[in-house]
Formats: sequence, C-alpha cells, structure tokens
Amino acid sequence: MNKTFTAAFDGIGPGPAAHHRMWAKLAEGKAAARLQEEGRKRQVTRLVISVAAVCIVLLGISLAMARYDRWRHSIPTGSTSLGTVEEAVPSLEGLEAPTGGDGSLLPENIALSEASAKVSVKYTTKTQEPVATSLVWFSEEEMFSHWNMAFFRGKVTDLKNIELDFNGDKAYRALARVRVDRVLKGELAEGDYVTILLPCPVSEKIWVEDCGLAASLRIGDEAVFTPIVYDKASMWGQNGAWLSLKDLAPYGLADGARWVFLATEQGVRYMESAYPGFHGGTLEDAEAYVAEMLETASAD
Amino acid sequence: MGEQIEREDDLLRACFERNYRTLYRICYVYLKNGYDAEDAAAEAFIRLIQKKPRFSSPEQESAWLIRTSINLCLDELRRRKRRPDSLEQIGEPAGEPELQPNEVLQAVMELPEKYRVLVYLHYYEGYTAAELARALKKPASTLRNQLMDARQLLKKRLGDELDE
Repeated sequence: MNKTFTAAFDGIGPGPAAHHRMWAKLAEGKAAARLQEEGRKRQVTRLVISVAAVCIVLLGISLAMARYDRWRHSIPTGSTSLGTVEEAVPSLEGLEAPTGGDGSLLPENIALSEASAKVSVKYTTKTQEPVATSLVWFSEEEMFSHWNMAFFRGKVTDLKNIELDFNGDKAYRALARVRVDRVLKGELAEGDYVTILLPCPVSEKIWVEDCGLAASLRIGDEAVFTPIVYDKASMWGQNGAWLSLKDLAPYGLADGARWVFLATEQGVRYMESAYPGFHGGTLEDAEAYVAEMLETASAD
Repeated sequence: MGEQIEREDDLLRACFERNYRTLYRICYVYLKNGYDAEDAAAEAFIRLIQKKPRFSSPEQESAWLIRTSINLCLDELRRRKRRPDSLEQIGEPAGEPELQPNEVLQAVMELPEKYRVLVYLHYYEGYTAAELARALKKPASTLRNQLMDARQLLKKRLGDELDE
C-alpha cells in the first residue's frame, strides 16, 4: 500500500522549478527578516544611546545642583541665594576691605566693586546670632581638595565684625586679619597679611555650633587656616542684591566649625569628626597632619 | 559578523533541502494548488527565520515546520472561505508544471481535509502515529483512528488498487 501512495505523492512534485521558486521566496523573506532585525537593532541602539544621553544630562544636572548646594552652604550663614554670575557681572578684581600696613583693618566703610550690586558693608559693633545650619558633609580627603583652598599657619592680628546690607536685609559677619607664618599651600609668602571672611561675627556672647571655632577667634590667636580662595565667581546673592565676596576678602571660611585648627593652652581645637585622621596635639602636629593630607591629595 | 551570516545561510539551505518536499506536499494536499503550496511552504521557512526557535534535533525542526505549514494552510483555507473568488474557485493557473494526477492521488485529494495530510505523512513520509502525535500535537490514538477511517474511505473509492 505504501508503494501505491509513494507513486501517487511522487506525482505531486515539487519539480526543480518549484524548488527554485520556493528558494527564491525564502531568500526574499530572509533578506526582509534581516533588514527588520537590523532595523530593530538600530532602534535598540538609538534607544540605548538616547537613554544614556538622558542619564548623562541628569547626572550632570544633579552633580551641578550638588555642587551648587555645597557652595551655597559654604558661604556665611544667612544668605538666601547664591549664584555664579561670571558672565552677568563685569570681571573686576575685588577691592578688599581696607587694611593698615601693620596688619590692622582700617575702620572705614568698605568700598565695593561694580561686581557687587545693591549691597553695602560697614564695620559694626553690633552682632546678631547666626542661625544654625547643617554642615554639608565632606570626606576627610575632600576637606583638603574640594575647593581651591589655601593652607597656612598664621596669627590673628585684627578682627572686626561687619554688617552687610542686602537691599535692606541685614547680615553680620567678621573679617580676620592674619599674619602668615608658614605656607603649606597657596600663593602666599611668610610675613604676608591676609584677610579672611568669617561666616559669623565674633563675640563672646555668640555660640552657635556651626560657628563655634570661628566665633571664638581672638586677636593674637594662632591657628592653621584652610580657607577657600575666592574668585570672581564667588558671589552671595540675597534679596535681589549681589555681593562679590572678593570685595571683602581674598579668603573665606566655608563654615565656622571646620577649616581651622586653633591653638589653645589645652591643645589644638578642631572639629574631630571632619578630620578623623588627626588625633590632636600641638599646632605643629596639626601643621604636620595638614601637610601630610595635602601630600596625599596631590599624589592622588 | 559576515561569517556568522554565511553559517546561518548554510544551515538554512540544509534545512530547506531536508524539508521543502514534505512541506510542499503537505501544503498541496491542503490547498490543492501548486503555487499556493509553494507560497505556504516558503512562508513556513520564513517563519522559522523570523522566530528563530531552538531545536534539539533536525526531527524536532521538521515537526515544527510541518505544524507551521499546516497552520498556514488552514489560515489560507479560512481566507478562501471568506473570499468567494479565490484562486481555487477560479481554477488552477495555466502552466502549473508539477502535478501529474493519477487515480490514487485524486482519491487522496478528495478525502476530508483532516485525513489528507495524515495519509501523506504516514504513508509517504513514513511517520508513525506516535511521531505524528508529537509533530501535530494531537493524541496518537485519535490519529490512529483517523488513519483507519482514511484508509476505509480510500478502500471504498479505490478498491483493489489500494491493496497492491
């Protein structure tokens, strides 16, 4: 019976022409399928690239926001807005608070450059307790590398509180005049006098956790300072007014709790949680620790 | 990349040579038309390229192709029912080259649709009921009964010729 069927079905074919036509159709289908697949792959590639681009942009934005946030927190307490206005304001060197040759700050009103607007600054005896803010956390390494900073040991030769008037909004800070005794890093020389903007006024009555160390500075104190080097982008904006921080001082402390190793009779005062690698001692020990950290940072 | 495409082409060619006759004939017994059978059989191979199913043996691959071609034929038959002016009703196109009908083939083609492919696969391709059950995903007992029914019908139609 199978033989009967075999003969019958053999008659169906397919013959060589049908074989050729089927293969040709298959080849067409194969080419179309490959084109489809390539199209799909291209779509996937484009999608992956687009997603990656969006991620990079978002990452960039978040990094920029984080930087902005850190920088905003780095300026003295009380500011409400701060921005980089390099393009918006004329590029002028800061005028800096007037000083005497003997390391004193002259009791005159501080003239501001055109980089500042709708703001005035004057020396004052008035103080106002600053509002405590949470400190932006930095790793120990970042404490030595986050900003463009100067590192030096020096002696406070003068201290004056200042009142800043941002279009009617008052804020109080202090300027410290410091004689540089040893340079650890920065464009300074021994014997130079530099002005540092402190993030709070100095007063025995003031005690705010974030400002403790800076607020307790007194004339004659010796310390290792690690201030930010202000540039033309260092601006403080508040209530529609803008202050170029360079107009006040070439250096500033990011907050009043860190960035200073203050020599006292009981040993060096500093913020232990910010510098876990330093275990106290004399100012010389602090100097050695800072130098070592700077060396490590430069090696990285 | 080019090497991989070449390799895929070789595998496809081998698969085509192994299966095209079977698929064509299966499609033919369903569609009763050489050109439609070519289209349906080629389409089964194209589905294979598009879906890229994984097989553990050439037999599994053949079974998949048979099932796919049967489904394609059933789709085509359904389409024909909806289209009154289908090619089948118009008649075989002129120049259809391969068909050499004889009485046995004629009798098989007159069997109900569900028997035709079984008769072909069992008596011509030599598939056992168990293999057919795996390939067509139907119970072997059902297929055995259907084959017996088909054989009875053919006997009725062909008489002594079938016993030769």
